[in-house]
Amino acid sequence: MELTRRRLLSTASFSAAVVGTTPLLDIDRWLAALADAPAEVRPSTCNGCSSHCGMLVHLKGGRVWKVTGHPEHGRSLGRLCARAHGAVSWLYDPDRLAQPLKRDGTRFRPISWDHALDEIAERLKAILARHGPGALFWSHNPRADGVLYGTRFMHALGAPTIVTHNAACNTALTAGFGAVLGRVPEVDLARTRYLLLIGRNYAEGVRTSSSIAMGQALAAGAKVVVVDPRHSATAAIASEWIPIRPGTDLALVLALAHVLITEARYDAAFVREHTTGFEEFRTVALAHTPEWAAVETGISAATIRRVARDLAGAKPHCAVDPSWKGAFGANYLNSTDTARAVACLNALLGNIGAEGGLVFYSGPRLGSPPAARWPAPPRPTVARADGAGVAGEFPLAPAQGVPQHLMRKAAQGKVKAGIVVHHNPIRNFPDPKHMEAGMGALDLLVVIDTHLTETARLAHYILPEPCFLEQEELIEGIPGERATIAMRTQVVPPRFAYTKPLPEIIEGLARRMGIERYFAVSLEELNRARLAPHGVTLEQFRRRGSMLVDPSTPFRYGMRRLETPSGKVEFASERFARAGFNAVPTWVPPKVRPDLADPKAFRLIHGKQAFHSHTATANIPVLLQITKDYGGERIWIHPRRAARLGISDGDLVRVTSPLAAQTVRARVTHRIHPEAAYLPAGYGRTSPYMRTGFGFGISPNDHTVADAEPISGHAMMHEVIVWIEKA
Amino acid sequence: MISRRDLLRAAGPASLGLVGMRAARAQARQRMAILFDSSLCLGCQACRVACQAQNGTGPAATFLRLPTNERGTYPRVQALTRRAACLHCGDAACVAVCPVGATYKGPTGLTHVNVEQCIECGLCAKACPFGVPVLRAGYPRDRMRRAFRCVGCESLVNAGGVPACVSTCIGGALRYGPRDQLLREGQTRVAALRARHPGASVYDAPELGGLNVLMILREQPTTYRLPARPQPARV
Amino acid sequence: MAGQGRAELYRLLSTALSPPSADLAAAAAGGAFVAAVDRCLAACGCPLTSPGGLTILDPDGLSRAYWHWFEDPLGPRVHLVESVYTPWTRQTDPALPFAGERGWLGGDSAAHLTDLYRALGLAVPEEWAHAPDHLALELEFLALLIECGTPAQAAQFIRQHLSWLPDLVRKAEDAGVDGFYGALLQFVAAVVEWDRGATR
Repeated sequence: MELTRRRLLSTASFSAAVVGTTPLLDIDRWLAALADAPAEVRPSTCNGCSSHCGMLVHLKGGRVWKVTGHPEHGRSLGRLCARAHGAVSWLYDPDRLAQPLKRDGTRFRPISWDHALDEIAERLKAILARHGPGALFWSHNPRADGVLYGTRFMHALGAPTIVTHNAACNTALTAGFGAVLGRVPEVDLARTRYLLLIGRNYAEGVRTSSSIAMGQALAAGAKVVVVDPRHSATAAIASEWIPIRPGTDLALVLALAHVLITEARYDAAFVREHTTGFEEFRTVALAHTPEWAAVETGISAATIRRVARDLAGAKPHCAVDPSWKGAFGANYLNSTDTARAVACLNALLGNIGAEGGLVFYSGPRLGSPPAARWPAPPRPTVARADGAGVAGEFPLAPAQGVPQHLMRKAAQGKVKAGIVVHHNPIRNFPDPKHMEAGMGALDLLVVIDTHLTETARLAHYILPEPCFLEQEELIEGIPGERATIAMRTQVVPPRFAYTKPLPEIIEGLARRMGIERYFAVSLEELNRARLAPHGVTLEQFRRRGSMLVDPSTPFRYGMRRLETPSGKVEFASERFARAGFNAVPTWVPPKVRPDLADPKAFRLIHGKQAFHSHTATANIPVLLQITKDYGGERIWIHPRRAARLGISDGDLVRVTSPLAAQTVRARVTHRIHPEAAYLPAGYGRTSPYMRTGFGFGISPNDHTVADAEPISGHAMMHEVIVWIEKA
Repeated sequence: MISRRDLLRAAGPASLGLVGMRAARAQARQRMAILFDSSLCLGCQACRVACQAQNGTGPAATFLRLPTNERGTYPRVQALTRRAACLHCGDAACVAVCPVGATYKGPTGLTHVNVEQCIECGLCAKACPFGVPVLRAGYPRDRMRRAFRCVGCESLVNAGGVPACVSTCIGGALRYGPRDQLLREGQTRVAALRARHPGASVYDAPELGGLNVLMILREQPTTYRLPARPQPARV
Repeated sequence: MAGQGRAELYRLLSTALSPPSADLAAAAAGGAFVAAVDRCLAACGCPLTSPGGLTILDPDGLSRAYWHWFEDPLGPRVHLVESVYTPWTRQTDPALPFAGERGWLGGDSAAHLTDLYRALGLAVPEEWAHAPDHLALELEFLALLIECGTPAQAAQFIRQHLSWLPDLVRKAEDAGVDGFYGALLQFVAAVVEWDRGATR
């Protein structure tokens, strides 16, 4: 019969005679044999969050059997967090994207790789020809291969607009610390004697090496003081919790500087030798007394003085943590200035480069292919479409970009095409409708991912990547006292045959766009070149996965020339002044404040939990179960406020804003500032494709207006008032 | 040859003496313990997930809970997290009462369970001074209601390794080693904590032959909802 | 039991459970598919009759239906893969949080069949690499086993690798799978159930 002529199993080397005798046919015997099979261990890196910890993958019979932390990796130090154990399930997820998809009305239909890349390249060429390279953007949560291949691809096309997830994370920090110290330092955690954490939450915004170091600091007797409107899991183990009115951290920091200066407790020698602009900063600080700050922050003047004196007493072995998102990474109208003020406060303590203070680490040396074969494309000459670095828009925004502003431009028809790589801006930026309006207005949206995210749902083409552990990626260099070189290796073959790693996708597009000369070197050659300075072959390194090496600049304590224009700490920034902002950080009130006379009005703040990465892990059953067991999706409300609204612990409440009305259960707790409501930010998946996470919990982004802070362009994630009542 | 199961059955459920002998034999190797420092626990749940993975409990059930007890009022509030799981008593009532030897002591002094042998009698659940074991259907995979409780990562520790919760801990809150040594180190840590927490202690229970999961607590045990002087339950 | 008819029947069903070719669609629309199934049923003495749903009116719709029910990421995603319906492994030593759970690819059945195919010199085409225990592959392998192996081996394979079909049928019913594929899944489950009884 015709129909059965086309067979699935190829029988070219089939031996019928073996069938009758094979002992393998019985699955019970096969299982028994497997039990004794030796386990094999291969190194790779985790993808549970953007720390990419070193991971040892234990395999049995070709399947992943267990994962443990890679001991020779600066971020995992032999340990793995909950997300790492959970993330392995992505590998065996039957719902992963299996083949390229093309939009067909509101649905998708399969398309071959060749057709997909041909069509994308044609449409890109047409858009670039008609609208110029400013009409195209690239959006990602940077990982090594995306940075290299994405930047090359975009620059080769003359397109400058590369945006990242950071505007919803740490852009204010990057801009603020960049202005004062040249870049963002790290805390020499394990050796610090006094650590002031303003919103930084080591216990819930987790990087394994940092949590280990904080544990060491605590065990060694360091004083750790947490300033946060919420009694976080870090506050729970810290020496002291100082609740603060949300959005007023800048007032506290200026007042701390005030005390250090008026009481002559700052490091005058350091300031004299290593800083510029102190007089201007001094003038501002003197105007911000603890008594004034007490009114703004709700922290008593006595407490402010005590903290300042304690910091001074421990200087220079103390630090005010730069954080990531913390209180001033991307949260309030004043966050860039808060970041600048925090950098200035540290400088007053003379802790830059000090043991137990703020330190700058270098990455490892990584080689590069010969320039003749690996020419760098010219830097684009047109202005970025997101306004980052553009006069009249966001002249001081760092290269991380302003995606929410970009989406406004897209909705206005000024941006036409985008490539979004393995992240989900629609769910992870404020106001999904705003982000959807921008993405939805594009003539061409290409999403490269493993799962059908909220952003991918709007794509014209979805290009599936292999899962982590299924592909060898570009070698990463990680800064540290000892630097790390690590590679995500292929531990198992790609389960879905029609997935392609990012480099192959970009090479395929580049060929079709006529820019293949910038991609003449293969990923394997690039990795060989990166390893060359270390005398390790790629074959050896595949078995090792990660190693600690000397950083390119050896680490030592002490002050070095900074990456600021003057090479010194800049209390006052000429760049800020030239762009029309204050040269030194000055008090700016938050953009919105709840009406204290309104019993239902709260400022909505949010944060991370140690067992989730943004919203990316809400679809992993073992991790979402933790949330369910502990009521981890609940909104935190102060008991006095709850009582006034008739809300009891566990009640369903309605959260309303001009953008949305949703219900969620309440956690009534003394661990929250009365003016704030706290919502964990890992939930509220709206893609029905996410079988586990769909419809569970709510997201603060549903209530937050899409906006960009004028200096650095961050998303002001906590500038939102909601009304809460019993549902 | 008489099997361990028969031996225990013949001796009867209340044969603490026999257990004591077995424990003494075990000590000949070295009595090991887990030290949980609640003052360093992040509550990050890495231990829980590593345990679920190691012991095949599935995503919906767990041997390890980390309940947090909130104390005080804003802004003077404390969140006290403890490890709610088997404390591996030296003289383990669960071992003593198990009529079939499904619950037993290993050479490290940790308590292990062979769930396949469990007959769902529930005596361990009744005997435990801390109310840890529960009978749970579907664990590991059938309809029987087996004793569900921390099983002490038997294969790992007997091979000289470390329990899964300890090896993954990212906060420095869990350590595994000789009990004597960890007890001393715990007491040193407590001495440091007492400056700010006069009620700090290492939670141990001499009445139960000492615990092989030692907990450093910042406040009185009762604030963690732990019995101040745990007693073996009468069954 | 007539081996040839049985093997041919499983091959037909395997073809029908694969992404549909134009030939299949034409045969399903023109009645040739049902006729072939009925011939096989008669040849192997199976008392079942082919359901009416296996004859379709719109040959062009068959590919769309297959995509919609089984592959479309925005659809109900009724996976035709044994691993998804059975615990990922029966081994007790893996340290993965989902090791004993249902709902995942690459379970014992997949790993077993991968080893088995390799040992027998059978190659799985790359588009099926994600699921060596896809129902279409399992039925084709069963056909091979009927032809080249012993009756006991075929019976064992049915017992060990095809007892998940009632779960698949339930899932398909919950998802509302109708038309050709609704009828097909019910029919495949019935044929295997009959065979299980007949070969006991």
